[in-house]
Amino acid sequence: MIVREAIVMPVSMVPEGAVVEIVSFSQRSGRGFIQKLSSMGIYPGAVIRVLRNQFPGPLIVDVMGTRIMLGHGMANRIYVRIIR
Amino acid sequence: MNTRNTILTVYSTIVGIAYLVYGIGEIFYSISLNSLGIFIFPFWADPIAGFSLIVVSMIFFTAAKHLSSDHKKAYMYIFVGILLAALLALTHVSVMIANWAECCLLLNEDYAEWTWFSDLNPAIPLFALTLPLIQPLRKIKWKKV
Amino acid sequence: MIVRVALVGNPNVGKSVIFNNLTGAHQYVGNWPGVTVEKKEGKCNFDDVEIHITDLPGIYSLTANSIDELIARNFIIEEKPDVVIDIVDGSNIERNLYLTLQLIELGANVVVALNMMDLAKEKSYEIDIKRLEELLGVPIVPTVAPKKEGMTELCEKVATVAKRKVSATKIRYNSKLEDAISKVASILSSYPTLQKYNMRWLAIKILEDDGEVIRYVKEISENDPVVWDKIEDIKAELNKEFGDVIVAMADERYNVISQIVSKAVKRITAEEEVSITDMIDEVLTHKYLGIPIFLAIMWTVFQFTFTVAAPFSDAIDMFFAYTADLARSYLQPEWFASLIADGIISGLGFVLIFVPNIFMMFLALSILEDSGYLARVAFIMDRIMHKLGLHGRSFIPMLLGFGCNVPAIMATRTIENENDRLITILVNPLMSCSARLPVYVLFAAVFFSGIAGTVIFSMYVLGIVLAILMALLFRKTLFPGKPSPFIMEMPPYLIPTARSVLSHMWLRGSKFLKKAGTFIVGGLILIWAMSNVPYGAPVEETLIGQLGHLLAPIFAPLGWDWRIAVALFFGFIAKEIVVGSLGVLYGIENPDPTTLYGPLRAAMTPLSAYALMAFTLIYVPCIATLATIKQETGSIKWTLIALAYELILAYVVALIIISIGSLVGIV
Repeated sequence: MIVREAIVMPVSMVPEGAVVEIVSFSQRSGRGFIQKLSSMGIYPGAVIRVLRNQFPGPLIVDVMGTRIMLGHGMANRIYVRIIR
Repeated sequence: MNTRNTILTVYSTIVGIAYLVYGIGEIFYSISLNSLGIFIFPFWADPIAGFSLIVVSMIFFTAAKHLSSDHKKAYMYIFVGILLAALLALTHVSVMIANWAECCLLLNEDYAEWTWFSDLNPAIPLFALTLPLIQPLRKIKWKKV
Repeated sequence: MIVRVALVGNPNVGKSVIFNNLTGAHQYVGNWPGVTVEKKEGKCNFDDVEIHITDLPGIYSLTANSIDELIARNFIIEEKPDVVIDIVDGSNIERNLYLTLQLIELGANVVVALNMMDLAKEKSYEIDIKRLEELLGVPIVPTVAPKKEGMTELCEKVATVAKRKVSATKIRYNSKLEDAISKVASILSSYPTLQKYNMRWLAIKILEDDGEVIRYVKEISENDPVVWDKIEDIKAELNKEFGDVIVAMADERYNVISQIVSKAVKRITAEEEVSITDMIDEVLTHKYLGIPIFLAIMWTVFQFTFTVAAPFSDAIDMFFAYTADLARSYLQPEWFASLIADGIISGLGFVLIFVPNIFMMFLALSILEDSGYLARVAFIMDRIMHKLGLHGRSFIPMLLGFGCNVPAIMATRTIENENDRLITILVNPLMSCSARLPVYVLFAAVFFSGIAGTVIFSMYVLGIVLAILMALLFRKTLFPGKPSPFIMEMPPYLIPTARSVLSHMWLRGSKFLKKAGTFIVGGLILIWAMSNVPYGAPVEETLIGQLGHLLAPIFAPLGWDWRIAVALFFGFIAKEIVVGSLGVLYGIENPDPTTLYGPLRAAMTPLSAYALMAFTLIYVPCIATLATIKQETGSIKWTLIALAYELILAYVVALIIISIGSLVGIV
């Protein structure tokens, strides 16, 4: 059973082990930011898993089977919804 | 499973304590030597060698801690702990061989009084101590990637 | 027949391995014109076909947002290679196909090398290659690069499709997008100059707000408002429909990809299995254990670099000393014997002594890098680096700087952002490289015996502290702004192959040796010349002595005499030379450092010695480093800035040390 939490939050606040769906990017995100993330598999609608979160440090997420490290600046600008 | 877990926890803790003891010992040993005016080169070798032993001990303590709750996680720590222990032991052995080369192959005067015992380091027997922990590790199924 | 091929792919997919497999020894490494990105070209032969291969930078997509992407796509568009080999990581297909789709949009003649098939198998993927070929519309060749599997088949396929014309592609996006794309494309087709490009691709890029394409098309269309209004309208409609066209395009590409993948790739996996990489990462990226573990590993690296390499260094030393003696005994006339023995042989020997150290260090670093650990180091150190206004990726070059600044600065290539990279480069020489160690050891032994180790350690700490201060300073003044967003892929842990590790070690080591070697040997011969003209005269009266007396006044306030001045001057060439030249200056033939103790104690006080050590730490990067800075920044301005700020900082710090020391009463 998939429980969808209605709350949308920056991925920097997601606990380790959670699976999230990307909802949107922050309003101030430039074209470059969006395209860079998309090309690595992080785009609205994508589902990723948070492996390591050392708030306020960087994160490690699992995107389509690849491990990707996100600086917390970036992580603050990616809004997600927890799925699992 | 429970007795196995207990044995593992105990053994892991013992390994941790062993590394901790020798680690602290090595730091004090090197510091006291240093103050005697003996210049150890590279100057940072010994206290950090002791520090490395302490790091390994922390890994095994963490493993022991996790064994009661999430034993898969604990195995991860044991695995890395053994790897690191192996790395340290290997480094010390390499240093010994290098020094042997200096003393007996190159006949370097600085090493006139060197013997195999000069470089014997606890890291080596301590590594042997960790080996029995490999056995339970074999039972896990793990993917390569 | 000659076939021109370009190699593209995501980072970490094994592109270099394939390039090496195909071109072997026939490689040429240079730079892309005007930038500091490495360009590799090579040749290989298959049957009667000669294949010229250009290795393009590893990229995730073809936008205009970064130099790497621009280089790659401009090469494909302008140079029009016959075939573009897209190397796809078979164990990571979905993400990799994102680039493939863009190459197909570009209209390139794509051949996919489906690499890492062994890893794909490990991950329990079953890929139906024929089906995938059908759906994508491009030929696919499975490969396992490290085992050289599939290389011949790849060449074969390349030769076969090389001269075919790329017809319209099979990949189509959803109807609304396709509609907009064809509308824009038809607007563009009224400009004959644009005909030589792929209209569809231009249209897609315009819709995606691609800076370069828009700029170019505006130029061609002379900014015709009629045309651009129409285009804006089309865009506006799409935005209404999809929210954000850029996001919509990305989304649609992945849509197409997942449809393709669901039909051609199956995965049988048990969720419960844990991968080794995750196991190791659990510990190595642990919040509290991560850094200590890293320190322990660094300790082993230093042990190997110094202690284990020592016998080799000493052996080389003995060999050269022996040869020099031979030369001295058997060569006539005396000045010639001296030139050969003291100048050339000793000079050469001096450099070669470091070879074991340098290669050991590079070996260790290659192992760490190839295994994947260095990426984790960037992660662990990111938080700390952030406080300095940099990020995790800047840490590794700093670390390398402790060995030698030349490869350290070369390693800054991985930092994408120009400003971050410049700060890292400028601050790097403050990381006390191994060349300065002999100076510390000498002066510490002479003036501070008993606490020598601590004094030397304090030099390293001083270097780090100054580096932090300068980094913060640069961030505030010269390069305002936050550090750029940090996103990096972490490859799975792999046991590095001996072949790749050794080849990396060799590549970097030999590059360093060539650079440093020529400068140091040249410098030592120069010193020999200057200290022996006129031959046989006491040191003060030779050229070197005259130079020293010229420079002495500058350093007088610091308590250093003309000999020190000259030694420092030559230290500019290579810091290792400082000790050697001191030996020459005090008239000692084969400097056994202990014989310098007396003269040095007479010439300076402990305070001025400490100031000297600090000065050596800071002043001027050696010539090899300066050359590297020039090469990596591509500008003389920054090189000169580095030179200037360090000289000034060195003098100021030394002055401060002396002033505080005298005030406090230390002599």
